Amino acid sequence: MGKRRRKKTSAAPPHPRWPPLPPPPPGASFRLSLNRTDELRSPDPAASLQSLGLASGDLVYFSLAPDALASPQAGDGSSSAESSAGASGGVPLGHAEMDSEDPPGGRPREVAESEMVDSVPDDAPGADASGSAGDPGNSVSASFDFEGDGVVAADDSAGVRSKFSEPCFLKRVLREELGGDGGDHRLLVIAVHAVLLESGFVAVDPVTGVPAHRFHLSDQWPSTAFMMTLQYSLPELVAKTQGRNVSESVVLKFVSLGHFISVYGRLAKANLALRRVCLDERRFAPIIDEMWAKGDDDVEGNEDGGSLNSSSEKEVFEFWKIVKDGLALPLLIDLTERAGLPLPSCFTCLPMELKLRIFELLPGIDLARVGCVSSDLQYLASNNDLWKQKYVEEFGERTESGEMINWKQIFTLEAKKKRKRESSRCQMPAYTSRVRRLLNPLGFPGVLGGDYDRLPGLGVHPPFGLPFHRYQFRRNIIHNCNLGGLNG
Amino acid sequence: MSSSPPPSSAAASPSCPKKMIALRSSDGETFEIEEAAALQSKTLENMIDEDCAGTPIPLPNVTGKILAKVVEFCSKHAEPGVDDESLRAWDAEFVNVEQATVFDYILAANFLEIPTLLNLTCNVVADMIRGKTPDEIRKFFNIKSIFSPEEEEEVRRENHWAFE
Repeated sequence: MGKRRRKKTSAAPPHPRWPPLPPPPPGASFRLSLNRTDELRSPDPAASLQSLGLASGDLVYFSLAPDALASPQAGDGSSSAESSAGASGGVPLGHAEMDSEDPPGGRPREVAESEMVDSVPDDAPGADASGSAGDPGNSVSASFDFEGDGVVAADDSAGVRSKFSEPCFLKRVLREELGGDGGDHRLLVIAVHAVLLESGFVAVDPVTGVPAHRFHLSDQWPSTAFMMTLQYSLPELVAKTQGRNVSESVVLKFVSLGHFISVYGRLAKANLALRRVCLDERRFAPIIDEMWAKGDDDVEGNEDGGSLNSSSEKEVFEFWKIVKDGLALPLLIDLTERAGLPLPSCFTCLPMELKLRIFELLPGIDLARVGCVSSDLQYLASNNDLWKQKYVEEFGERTESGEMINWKQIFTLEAKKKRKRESSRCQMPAYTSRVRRLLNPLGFPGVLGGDYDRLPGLGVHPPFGLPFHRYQFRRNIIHNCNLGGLNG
Repeated sequence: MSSSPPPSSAAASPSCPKKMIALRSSDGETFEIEEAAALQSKTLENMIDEDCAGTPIPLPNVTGKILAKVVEFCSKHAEPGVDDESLRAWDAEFVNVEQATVFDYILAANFLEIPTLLNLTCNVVADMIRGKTPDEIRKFFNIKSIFSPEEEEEVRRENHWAFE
């Protein structure tokens, strides 16, 4: 089967099983192909499609552009154009259900005539795959057609796509297509894009850096490993540069592995943390598809269930939360900080009194930890009145009182005493991070993990470190030897 | 699409139709809230007392999306005959939202002085902090640490007892 589909143009040596081809008939109105690369030709225009080697369930492409299929493609288009229904990833083409279209002579021509006209022969990199958006009654490429950045298989050949039949058949087929692998990718990518838009980002063309109102979705969505990139910025930054390259932007990379899509995001021009979110297609794609299928009618008004049940809505909320908290919000914070814009709603932007109010609800130990987070929080968390409150909460009232009491210190002392009392009751060895940290400044053993973590005295010469087998209870080690100010 | 209710200076009696207050968000959307629900907000209560509640009250610090939810919260809490447990469950569901929205709620509750909402949301954030190490807190809330390594070491040493 495969061999036949890789049939070359007439310049190639003739296939042993096929008769040699005459020159193509002049003025042929369309070209058929099974892999968008190599054309299927028949010596007899009136021949049946079967004679070209097409079989039931094959996916057929055709174009009205005479030179659309002239040159073989470097992409992986050929590999994914294997036979049956829906196998190739989500290309928005109609199936040629061969059995239902057993052609009397000349049927292909009829089909060609019924086809919508906008074939797109240009090979420009920004190839407007809007041909695919010309599908009647179907905005599957919804309002977003994404332009791959070249990582996705190049579809620079002429926009070869077909519509074989009436819109309802097409819709059904598209629905089937969306149910396939490529469709799920597309749904998730669009949904993530939606979250970013809602967070305040604007999409930016990765090539030119100008805002893009529509992305151009590559037609090619291979069903296996898949990767694509999108770029976003903020309206303020876009306005500043007035249509030229934005100064700062955020890059999102979608990578699919099996039925998971990982979305990585980071600032385009800075080396800050890479944010990552992993989405399970199997979990979210059906829900998103349901939302899409509902169309425009009454998307919001389903409080009482309606046709979108509450569990689907919950899943959508879950999805939104995952993407927003894991990706959109961190990236937004990174971008606004870098660009000097006001921060979005986040902990950092709460006024002082609200932060203190939250700290009042924390136990002392968490308050101490919060104080280690950043210098601002260190200052806030060292508030004396706050520590007095913590002390009273945990240890009760204290008889002495005066203006100059450092309540945090007092709390700390009490807490340590309490811990000593508790630890002397139970002799459980517990690993403490302090010991490990103190070993590192000594320069050795300088190894993390394994026995060096479990037994921090390992490999370190006395008096700082201790031989392995004698000191298995590290609490005793801490109490008995001076590791440089630990107990000070 | 604003519909301002006819201003009425008389207090609403039980037999009268409920008096609705109109609120306008920062992005121009108008919302209606029952007076009883609006009284949950001290800010609105003051405005109602001073009889400024005739035209839609502008709330420049609150977006439409958040104001809608705040109105929902206040209405729910003003409902008679809701038992504590189901109200608590409803509250838990109400704050089961993404982080940015929780902080929006806090800011809105602070601005409108709604003690119930403020307590609820502050507790939510405190729960988010509780039990986390400083690194985890930083990562969770996207806080940039501006300590130098020496400062960080010192801070850790000071608070080492919190890490046992």
